[in-house]
Amino acid sequence: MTATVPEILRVSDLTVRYGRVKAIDSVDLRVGRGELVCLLGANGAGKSSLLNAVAGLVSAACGRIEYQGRDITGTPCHRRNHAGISLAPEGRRILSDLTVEENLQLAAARVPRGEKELRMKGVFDLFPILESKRNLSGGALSGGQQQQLAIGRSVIIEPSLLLFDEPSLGLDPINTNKIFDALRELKGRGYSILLAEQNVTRALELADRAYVLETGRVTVTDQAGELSAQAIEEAYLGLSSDPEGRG
Amino acid sequence: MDTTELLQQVVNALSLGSIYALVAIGLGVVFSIARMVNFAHGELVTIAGYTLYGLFGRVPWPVAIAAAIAVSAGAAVIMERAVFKRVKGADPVALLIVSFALSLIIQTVLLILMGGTAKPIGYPSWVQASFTIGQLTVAWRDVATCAVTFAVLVSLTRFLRRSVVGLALRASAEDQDVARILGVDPRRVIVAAFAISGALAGLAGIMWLANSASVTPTSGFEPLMNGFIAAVLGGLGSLTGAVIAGLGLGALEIVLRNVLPDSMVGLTDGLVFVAIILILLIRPQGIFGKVGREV
Repeated sequence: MTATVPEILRVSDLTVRYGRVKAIDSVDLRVGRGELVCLLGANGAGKSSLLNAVAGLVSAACGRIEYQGRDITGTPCHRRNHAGISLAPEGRRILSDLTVEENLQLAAARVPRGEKELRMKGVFDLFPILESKRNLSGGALSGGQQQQLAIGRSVIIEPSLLLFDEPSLGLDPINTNKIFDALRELKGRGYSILLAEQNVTRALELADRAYVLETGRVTVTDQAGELSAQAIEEAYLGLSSDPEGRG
Repeated sequence: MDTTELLQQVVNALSLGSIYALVAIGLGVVFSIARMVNFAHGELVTIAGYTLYGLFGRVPWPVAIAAAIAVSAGAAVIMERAVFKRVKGADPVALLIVSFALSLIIQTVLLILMGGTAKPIGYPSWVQASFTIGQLTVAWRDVATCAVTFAVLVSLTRFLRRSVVGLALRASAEDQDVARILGVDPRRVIVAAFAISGALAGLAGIMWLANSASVTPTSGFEPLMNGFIAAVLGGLGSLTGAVIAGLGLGALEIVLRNVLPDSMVGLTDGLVFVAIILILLIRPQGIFGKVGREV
């Protein structure tokens, strides 16, 4: 990150454990305002754990998470949302018993009454298909539509920091294109985004910077355009010889 | 059984089933959020009864009824804050034992404070009165029970669909992590669930105890058991299931009491249980329960 971009998120020496297993091991990471930062890595590398730790779904075993210059390491998940951190989780996790509109209404519960319709319209402008399905239950949507709803649900509060966990996972090429178009649109609107993604090529097209995670540690970090294919390939295949190496 | 008698039994079944449905919904609301069956729910019914015992005749009856509902709701929240909050996340069996223990503790405290003899509840005279349609005699309390239950169900459904708290409750029942990332405060949701559950228990208590017009420390046991059965039968956490199973249970009980020969009337409860076991053997998740999910 260049010195001129102020930070919105700083993760320092963060460790997350599930029992005795370290899912995240002493990770340092920064996101600047308006940046799209990409987390790359194979399955089990710790991308979701890192996003969940930033969102507050899992606790940090040690380390520090600062958001807008404030320590939020011990802040409950719902308060982080109120403060402007919004997560679209892996696997979409749409509330299937609630309608599309109810999913959005719940997400927008703290939005002032007079603005709710406008925010809803903003989501429908981004994903027009959702408007025609607004009275359908979330469980009745296709995978691509559910992902659109998951993103719409996270965007409706106009957060300061968006966390997207594998938004293209399991989607066909057409829906993958729609999701990446939306991410490009959101980046263009100036959102700060931390994106975990397995579709390396598409993610790096959008990202300003990227971190490559391998077994819970950051093994490579650089400007997105500077990451070498070899460094990424090695990280995905678990071939990195220097876990502290900077690509 | 002639038509008049049949209609009479339908009225009785609707009234009894309505009360079971209210208890079942109360149990289901807490189960959906806290993943536990609160066996101290019956004591909330009892507490409403003692509130009425203390207030009827001293304050206007609508105030006494509102107070009984409020006291039961408050008692449910205190239960959660003082006891269940401390064992949150414990093994389901441990939670079950804690709720049984709490039930016994409340019964014992009520026994010490109020004594074991039944305390008369001075319901307004219209509650015990009845009217006739042709040869059919209908008690006003049965009409009130059915009407109030229907109004509560409509209101509760609207509340769950249209209010933010209702949406938060439904979201938390489905996926608590997602509710949290959408900004729902889990503590507020659990307090809301217990408050609603307590209010429903209070309402059920007011109507249940109108039959005997008296209350003892164990008055809540029978509606609790039948409400629990209705909740399981309908699919724990399912509003529709609780209502249908509650009404069905009430109907089955009334039918058996009327068709069985006098020498076998004592077997009514046993036969009801046999029917329930058969239904659960076919649908272990309950009539409206979903396979693989607890709600």
